[in-house]
Amino acid sequence: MTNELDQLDHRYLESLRRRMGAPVDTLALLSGAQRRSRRMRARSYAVRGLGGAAALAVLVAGGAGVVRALRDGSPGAIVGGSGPTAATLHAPLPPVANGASTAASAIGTDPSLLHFTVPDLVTDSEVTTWISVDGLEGVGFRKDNRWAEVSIARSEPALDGLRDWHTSSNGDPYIPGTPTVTPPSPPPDLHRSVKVGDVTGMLSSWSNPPESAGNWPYLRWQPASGVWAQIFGSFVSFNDAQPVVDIATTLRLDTVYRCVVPFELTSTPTGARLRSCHLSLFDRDAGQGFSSVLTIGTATAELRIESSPKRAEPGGSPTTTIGGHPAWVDNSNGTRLRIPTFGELSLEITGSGDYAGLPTVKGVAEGVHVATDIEDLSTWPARTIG
Amino acid sequence: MTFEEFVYSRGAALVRFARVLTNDDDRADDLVQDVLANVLVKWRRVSKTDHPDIYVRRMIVNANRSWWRRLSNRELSVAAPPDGAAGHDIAHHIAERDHHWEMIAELPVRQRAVLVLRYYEDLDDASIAEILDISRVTVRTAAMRALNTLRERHVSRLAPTPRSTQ
Repeated sequence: MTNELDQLDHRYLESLRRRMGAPVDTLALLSGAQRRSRRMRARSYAVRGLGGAAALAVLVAGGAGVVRALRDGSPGAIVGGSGPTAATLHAPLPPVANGASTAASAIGTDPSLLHFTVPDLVTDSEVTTWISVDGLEGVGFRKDNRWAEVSIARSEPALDGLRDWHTSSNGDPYIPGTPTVTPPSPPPDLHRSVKVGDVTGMLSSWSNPPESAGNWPYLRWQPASGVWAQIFGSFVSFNDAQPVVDIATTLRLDTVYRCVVPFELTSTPTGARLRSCHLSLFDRDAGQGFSSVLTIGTATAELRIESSPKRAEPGGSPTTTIGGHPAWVDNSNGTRLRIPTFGELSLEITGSGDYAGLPTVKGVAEGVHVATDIEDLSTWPARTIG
Repeated sequence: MTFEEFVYSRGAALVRFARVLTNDDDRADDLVQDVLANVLVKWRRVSKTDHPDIYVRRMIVNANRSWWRRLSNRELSVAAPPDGAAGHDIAHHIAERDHHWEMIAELPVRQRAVLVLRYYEDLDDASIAEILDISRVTVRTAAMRALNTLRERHVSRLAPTPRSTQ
């Protein structure tokens, strides 16, 4: 092809190459494309949401999300309709009911559901974590290097039980499976009342003095009768209540969300029930897309099923195979079965107590059905246990 | 291949291609981001095509056309080529290089695109035809015309400039 080129042509093409060879910031390109795509999707949802009577009903129920999507282009996926598409994983969980304020008695009773959200923060968050366990529900998020965890429960002691967990996690996402029914924490060391909308909340600290190392301020208030809420994290300052109050006033109890994971368990031990559901979605700009943990069990047995995008297989020969996928067994603490590539997922299943036997763990692993497209939240199974 | 992997592996080439099409770095970045945002929405479908890269390049070409029309964001003619100066110092070399680029920039968009795809990306005529939505014959013709134009302009630039008599 280059035979037709003479020396002059080569000089021109060299100039062309130099011109084209200027550095390209691929990361910025990716971020920009993702940001624009989210805006496009938000506009698309908004238009779709305004298009029909059914969507209009949703608009009434979830109006804030739609308005937000229209206003600044942030993802407002609570509008419903078809779910987010590939690489738009960072979206709110799918709602299962809109409009009615949750009865306090429902909170924390079903680990597959969450009865609240903090929509503004969830949609803009770099990392969002949802968790629902017996007696407690939580949403955690990170934004601009700040983080907070918002929890609701039917009683204050359930929130007190978070003290040790919060103060030792350094802001890491919620870790499910942590016992939530723990002895009540000591009374807050410091506290002062603040107004959260129409109700009076208490801004407290778990240590003394405020704003020193080891100080853990948090806000607690009652967003509705019989419901206690708490915000803990770097948004909370004992001296400046406004940032955390701003978050608190956006908490909503009018939509029920389903905690989903990118797989369904079709084979579980008899008597095992869902004990916790945990999902973290990471902004795609930051790399990894998600991690999830389900725990199922009884009073004397537990299975912990963790998933994330598939990983490279470790060195060494696999111990066994699950559905043809190489798997490694570790018996150092219960029975842990690692399957780095299970379709598009990496799975880790740990059995303890009565479920510590390898046959039990393998039985659960063999019954895992992976979502059609792990990057598309709308294809994730609606049920965690089939 | 995930969308991210695609952008990491092909993004730079796409931007460079867009730079040649638009002759404007900022506009090229903007154009490619817009196109990739569209691609992202339908990535599952795009990734299943035989040649996602060609598909996306074609989107860039089309987007450039439509954007160009929509915003009337017409290309600006570059300044007239400077007179050739004697000497072989670095400044002269850079000036020559810039001049070469200016000559290329004056070519019609299609001819520039063909040059890039043919001689920089080493794509075959069939792929170039698909990207630009033209026939293979047109690809060859465009390449030939582009090179001929550059040669002619170079010759005319070297020709002595008539001086006015006083």
